[in-house]
Amino acid sequence: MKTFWQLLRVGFWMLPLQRALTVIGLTVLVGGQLFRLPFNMPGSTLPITFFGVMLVIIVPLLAGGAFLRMLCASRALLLRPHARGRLLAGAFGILMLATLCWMFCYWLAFQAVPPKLRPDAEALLLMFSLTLNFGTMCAVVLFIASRSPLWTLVILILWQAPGLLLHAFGVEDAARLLGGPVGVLMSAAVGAVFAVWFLRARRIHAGAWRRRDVTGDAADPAVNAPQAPATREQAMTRWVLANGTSPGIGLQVLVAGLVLLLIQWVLGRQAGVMALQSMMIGVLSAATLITGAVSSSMARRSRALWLPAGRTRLELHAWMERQMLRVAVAVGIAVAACALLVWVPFSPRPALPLAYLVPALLVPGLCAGWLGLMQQHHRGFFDALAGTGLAAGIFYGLVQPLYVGTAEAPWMVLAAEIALAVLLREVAYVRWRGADWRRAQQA
Amino acid sequence: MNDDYVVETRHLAKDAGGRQILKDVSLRATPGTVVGLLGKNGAGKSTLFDVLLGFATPTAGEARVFGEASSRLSAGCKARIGFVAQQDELMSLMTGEQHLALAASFHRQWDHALIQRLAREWEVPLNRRVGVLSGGERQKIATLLALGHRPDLLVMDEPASGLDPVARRAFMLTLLEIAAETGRTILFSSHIVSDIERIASHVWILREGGIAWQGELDQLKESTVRLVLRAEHEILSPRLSRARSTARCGAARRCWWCATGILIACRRSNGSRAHAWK
Repeated sequence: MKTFWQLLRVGFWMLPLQRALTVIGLTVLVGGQLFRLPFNMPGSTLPITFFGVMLVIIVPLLAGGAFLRMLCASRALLLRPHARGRLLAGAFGILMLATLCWMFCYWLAFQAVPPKLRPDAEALLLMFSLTLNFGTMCAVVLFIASRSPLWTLVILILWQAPGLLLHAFGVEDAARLLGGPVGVLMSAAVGAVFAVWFLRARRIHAGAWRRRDVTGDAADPAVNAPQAPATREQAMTRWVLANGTSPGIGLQVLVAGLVLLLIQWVLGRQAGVMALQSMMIGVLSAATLITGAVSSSMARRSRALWLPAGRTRLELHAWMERQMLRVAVAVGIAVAACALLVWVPFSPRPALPLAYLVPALLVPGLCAGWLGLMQQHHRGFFDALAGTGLAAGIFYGLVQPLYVGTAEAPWMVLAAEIALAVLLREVAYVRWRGADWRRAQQA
Repeated sequence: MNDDYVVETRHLAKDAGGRQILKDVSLRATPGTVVGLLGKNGAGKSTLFDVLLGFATPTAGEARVFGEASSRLSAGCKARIGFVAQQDELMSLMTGEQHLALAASFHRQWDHALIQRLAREWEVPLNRRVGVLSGGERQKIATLLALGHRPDLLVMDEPASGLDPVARRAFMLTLLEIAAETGRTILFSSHIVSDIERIASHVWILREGGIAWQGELDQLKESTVRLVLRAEHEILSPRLSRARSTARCGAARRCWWCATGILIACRRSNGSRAHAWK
């Protein structure tokens, strides 16, 4: 139990960002219930409840697997009695607790509507199994993803296999089966296999999210082959993008986006066109995270460039910003190409005008880019607040209007996002002007 | 194999990457001893610790800790061991306090008073994220993590390499204090001979993967000759050359650092000391 409490602390309260998100999320959750804030969905407080819960659990959900790997990668942990078992039990305990909390909030969100419109026990059970399935998938897949992208792909394909098979064989009510008994069985099976491996593995290695450096593998003849000498600019670009390129990142986003859209279409086509479009666009807007993560990584790698680049802080900032914009454009093109697929073949098309949809899809990427660039040597409450605002912008400016099927574009949300982008750019500029290389995290 | 030994290896060998890292290593440590492990870079010190504690499996031979095979240590046996790695494996996002709280949650008994006292004496900033601490401070936190459950066997891979001389002295004194507790065994590797001289009761010298020397420190010192000569000019003066040849023919021959060479110390005319190695 002591380990469970410590893990809870690591998951929700370890970093200032987590603390800020937990406090903001709980405030949104409680405020939404107290003041009955329905936003665009009259009758229930589900959107605000969902938003509040997501704020609280977003970090453990997206980083829980990586945290678990970091905790158990230490060799000294192998000498702690039953340490891995306790860590695993704690992680599953948190997963179960989060699922139950979400169930409670989901039930609470419908207390304002007439009883006949409230979800029945079967709907609650379905929501429970869906949430547990999703949480287990996030934890296990992200644990593996923090080390091996290839194995992540294999696990994802295996995970989706039952759904694909159910649809392929034309099983009636496949969506309900998949969300219910099949989903629970898949979670249990994956959890059991993962637990056996986790407890028996001699050594669990630390995460390896970095790409291989040019000089990383001395034994590889391709690496040792003589390379054309790089200019200073090229060398700097290679360093900040971890030996990648902007078009390469864009291509990866395009492939990942197409695969995700295909999975969404296969699994969600029975849910109706509007819901499917909403889900697909929601998934595409997750590319914002890619831009933010890349620009944040660029900013953190900037310390090593301070001496060799031979530029002032502001010159370096301007160069970094250009690189970030190149990445944002590459990712934006990939997202726009994927969005065309969501737009063209479906009938009816989204009611939102295209003139709104395209900027609403791309502006959050720019915001995330500058948010990442801000984190050269500092992360704090403002960053958490900006991230929350960005998430709210995507949710209320894109996902929800598409889900509801309204033709009225929430231009105010888009305007707020543009204002946020300008603000974040200014903050990034000010922070870079006084960049503290001593405090900057070493890449 | 004798269960009276805290650590015992027999004909231990370890291959990795097509290279033999350990070969025919037979060692033993009794309760209450403080063993200093000496060796050059790449001699196999860290690998020996890895195999001893079960992190890696031996290619041949056997290693036992508290009478149990290293590769299958029970939970009870593990609870009696503390380990400090050469490069700390701390999570840079967590503070020292959070690390200690998590480590304490794995043990039934955790000596909070000892940890607080040591943290105060070593001036460890426990409330700051590990990622922003210096190498020495991180090393101190790693040591605190290994000491909290009062292990019977403490294994430390170059624990003082990142510490400044003052901190190192304080650290070594604490180790001496901990070692003084009945029955506690300490294994530690170091490049710093004075550290080993200061606290070790026994010395193991590894050379190219094999054991070059093992025994009590005093015994090792007795088998070593240190000649102090007065040279008028440079180290390789004719008088020194004569001294070297004399030493080679004399009774005592071994340098206890490399176990094969002869250490000759001479004093220059300006009073400074110089050393020559054969």
